[in-house]
Amino acid sequence: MSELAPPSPAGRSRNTSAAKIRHGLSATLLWLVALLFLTPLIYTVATSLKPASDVFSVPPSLVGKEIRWQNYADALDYLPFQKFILNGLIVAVSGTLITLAAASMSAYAFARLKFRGRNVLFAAFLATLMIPQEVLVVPMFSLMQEFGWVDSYRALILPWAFTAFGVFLMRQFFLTIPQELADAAYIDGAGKFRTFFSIMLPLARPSLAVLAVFTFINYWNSFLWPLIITNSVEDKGTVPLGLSLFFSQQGSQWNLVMAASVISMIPTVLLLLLLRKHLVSGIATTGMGGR
Amino acid sequence: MKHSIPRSLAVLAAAGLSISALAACGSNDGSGNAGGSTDADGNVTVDWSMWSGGTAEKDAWQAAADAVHTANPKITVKLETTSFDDYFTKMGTRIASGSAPCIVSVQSLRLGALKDGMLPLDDLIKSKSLDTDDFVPASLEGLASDGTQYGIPYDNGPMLMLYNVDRFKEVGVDAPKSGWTWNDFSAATKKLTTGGKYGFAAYPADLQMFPMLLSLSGQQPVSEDGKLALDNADLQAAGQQYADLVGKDKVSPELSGNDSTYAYNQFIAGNAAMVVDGPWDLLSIQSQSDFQLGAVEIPAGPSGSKTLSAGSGFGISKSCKNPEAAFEAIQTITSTEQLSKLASDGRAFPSRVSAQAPWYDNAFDGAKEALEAAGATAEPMRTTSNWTKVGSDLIQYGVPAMNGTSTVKDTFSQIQSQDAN
Amino acid sequence: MTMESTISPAPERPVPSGPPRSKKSWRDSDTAAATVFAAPSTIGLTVFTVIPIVMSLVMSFYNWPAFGDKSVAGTANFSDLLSSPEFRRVVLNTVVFTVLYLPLNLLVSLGLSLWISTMRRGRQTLRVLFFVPVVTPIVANVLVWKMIYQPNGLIDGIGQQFGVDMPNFLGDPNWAMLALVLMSVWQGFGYNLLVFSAAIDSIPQSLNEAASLDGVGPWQRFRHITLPMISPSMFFATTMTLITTFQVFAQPYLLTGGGPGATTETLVLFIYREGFSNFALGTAAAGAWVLFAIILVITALQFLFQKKWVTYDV
Repeated sequence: MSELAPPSPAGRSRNTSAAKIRHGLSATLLWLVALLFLTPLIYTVATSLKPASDVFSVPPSLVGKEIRWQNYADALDYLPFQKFILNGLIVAVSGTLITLAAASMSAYAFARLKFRGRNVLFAAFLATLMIPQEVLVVPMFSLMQEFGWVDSYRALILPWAFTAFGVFLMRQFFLTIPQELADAAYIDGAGKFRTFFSIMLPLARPSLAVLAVFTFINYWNSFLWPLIITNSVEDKGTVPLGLSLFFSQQGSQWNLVMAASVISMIPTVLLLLLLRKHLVSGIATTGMGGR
Repeated sequence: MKHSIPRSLAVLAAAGLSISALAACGSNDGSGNAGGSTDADGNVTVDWSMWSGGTAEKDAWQAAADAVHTANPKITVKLETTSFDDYFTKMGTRIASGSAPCIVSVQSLRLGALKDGMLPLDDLIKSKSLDTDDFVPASLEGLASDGTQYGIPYDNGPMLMLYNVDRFKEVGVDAPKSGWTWNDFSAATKKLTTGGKYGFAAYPADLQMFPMLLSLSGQQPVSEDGKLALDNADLQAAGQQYADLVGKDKVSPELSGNDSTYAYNQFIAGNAAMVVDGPWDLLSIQSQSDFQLGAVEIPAGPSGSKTLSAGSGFGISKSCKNPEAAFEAIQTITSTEQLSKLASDGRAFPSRVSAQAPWYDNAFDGAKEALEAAGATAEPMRTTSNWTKVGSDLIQYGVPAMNGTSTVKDTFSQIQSQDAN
Repeated sequence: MTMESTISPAPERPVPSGPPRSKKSWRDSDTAAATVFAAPSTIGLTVFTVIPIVMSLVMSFYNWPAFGDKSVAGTANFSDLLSSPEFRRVVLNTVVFTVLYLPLNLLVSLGLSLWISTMRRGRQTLRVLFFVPVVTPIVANVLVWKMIYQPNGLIDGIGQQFGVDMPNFLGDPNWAMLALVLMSVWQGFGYNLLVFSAAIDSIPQSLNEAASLDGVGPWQRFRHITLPMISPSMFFATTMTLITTFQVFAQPYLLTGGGPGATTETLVLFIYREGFSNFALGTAAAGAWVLFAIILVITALQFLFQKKWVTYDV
């Protein structure tokens, strides 16, 4: 939306042609920086369309002897990427839904409800933020075995669906909602739950969108945990595991790997484009972001 | 605002549904049940974990799994596949935690790392009267430890020198012949290193490096009593000579990160004219490259040409509840019929002599002679029980040594002190 | 969802009957509601985070081999680690990575977000462009950077065209860490760019406008208006980036494998290898706790010093 915002006031105040030229130069330069920044991704797409023998050609080139769309068919033929994408979607979508529900509910409790031990509990939540996933992986694996969950969707989803990060982010948002709103609802006769569902959650949509994007991406791109917990990669594997499958005994085929990489990028990039407007405004309303 | 209530409720409801769906599908798939299961009618399901590099390869193994069911309808083999590198990380964890599959696939170099979780097979071999005479002796030896057999091999072979016939012709160098020496090799690499292309692709990965070092020094990296022997002076000197191909003589491309396929890629792309590889990769390299492929034994050092052999096969985990059924399944998978099929697909160079003909039929001219010549002098590569770590340390610390920024002596000594136990 | 109607306080209660009483009943009903609201996360975090943490703490005091018998090790795992040169090297590497990565990440993300905010058109598009590598799978990102860095790869190939001898980024001990940091910054700074962009967008335009009319230069405006206004975001970004930077794993694991030599072996990579390739689960757990202690101390310091530079009310 901010793209439609009026030109910056600095520009308006001294709208001389020199300033215009300066701004034009700056804009051109910035777009060049963006292009340079995107080179690796462009190179990925370019390599994905080269014949195998041109991948390591000297000197390097963006385009090979031919544009080989066949690489995509070969990559899909070489491994069941449709299956990986489906698995990734199952895991990421259900994980995101659970995260949104659990995080927004408890965040509301921490932000707006008074109960004994609230601060201690919240501090404990925050402390878990500092535990790296890699540290938990060994005991988590044993735990999954205790539950009999090894090689299941549950094991891919549930262990990481209850994040203190989500609670932290949503709480930050709920804190910004004026108490009067909740009070007004209460006076109107709404209970805690009604207030939450009918007032808080709808207001929280931008924050939920931000949390959804981050959670989805984390699930979609997660590598270490699926690597450890999935036994049958071609059955339960997610996209990053599928990519690593290319590195097999047979020697890696870079053009096909890059084709698969491009395929693996599509869902999250699409999601990003769909939710791009919410992203910045959502972060603005929560006053934070990142991970 | 009012009409958005249903939506937020819908999200929560969906979340709730996901949880209950997850809980429901959990109760009946029995996925945590290690080692397979038996139902009331005596039908046995045996799970089998294998590495694989793609759908075609997986289909070949799936066909072998299906053949087991055809041969004995009471046995169903459930195949799981993953990539080669991930496989051993995963299998170690699974054996460690008692959740290994019934049939464990194992490469000879990694046997030491897994064998404590695997069942000794000698009794089963006897009671099920498996004909071991048809197997190449080295293949069985590779999957045995201290005289105990832990796996039945499906492939095995000596490491060879592959070369780009077209490139040799282009530069006008005679193709290497059986009986060629290290001097011939040196001379060829120097002539072949022209115009941005290299004579050879070296890499400090175990199976690529140690056959050359063995031919030069007569030493393996592990002593006959199973101790790490990287501090051996002869081995270190040979290692330096190998490393110098990159760092000093510059006849082999400089090494980058920890990419174990780097050397092959350089070879397939035509940037290097020779590479060391095993017969299991021959047919796939042949199909990936657009030049004529040749193979010859490793160049001879002071005491003649020597090489190392390696191979893979299948064993049974200790946690397997149906070792007999698992062994029967392995017998079918490694039968002459099945191995012949794999051989004609170019998946593996069979461990059974009776299944090797279809492999030779598909290979290029000279492959058979090279394999037989190399096989005559090959010794199985010995490894230690922590070979996964040694192997990755060799690559991690070996890369700077190869590039000439550190010495092989220092590198080998450091790995020796870190990893010998 | 039916709970809503059954548990919610009876609407017929005479609510607007006086502030003190209403306040009291509001608070009374909180505990029941809070229990329901906080339960999913609390139970989830307990099962999937607290229990594994306790398990890992127990493991760290044991010799916990993958095969064979466990035995009590006391503090031996910790003392062995702290006295091992390999472990000290790994900790040092992690610190070096952080010291290089954090300022670079903040500088690039802050600089670009400021630059983008001066654009009249395409701001949102630019922000999304710089965010793309954050959402693409790290496996895919690393693979293409391998092709870019390696000899005869993209950089080297371009260098050859101009007769410049490029370093062997991933194979040269002097370059590998830098290459790792650059790749990580490329892949990661999009997060902070968005955080800063959001903060900059929320600065009232009138502030800058007025200062500009008063003849205050861009640097002074940045120093006295923008910086204080975005300092809470900077604090947040610094803290979170610091924590995640100490946990760096996927990039060294996939790009350099910790090499060449031990130059890029980070703490979490070490922990992973002790656990999953050496199967020394006790040592791995102990290493994890050392990492946790370091992160804890640094975060505490961050919070302690935030008062000095973070402005919460402008």
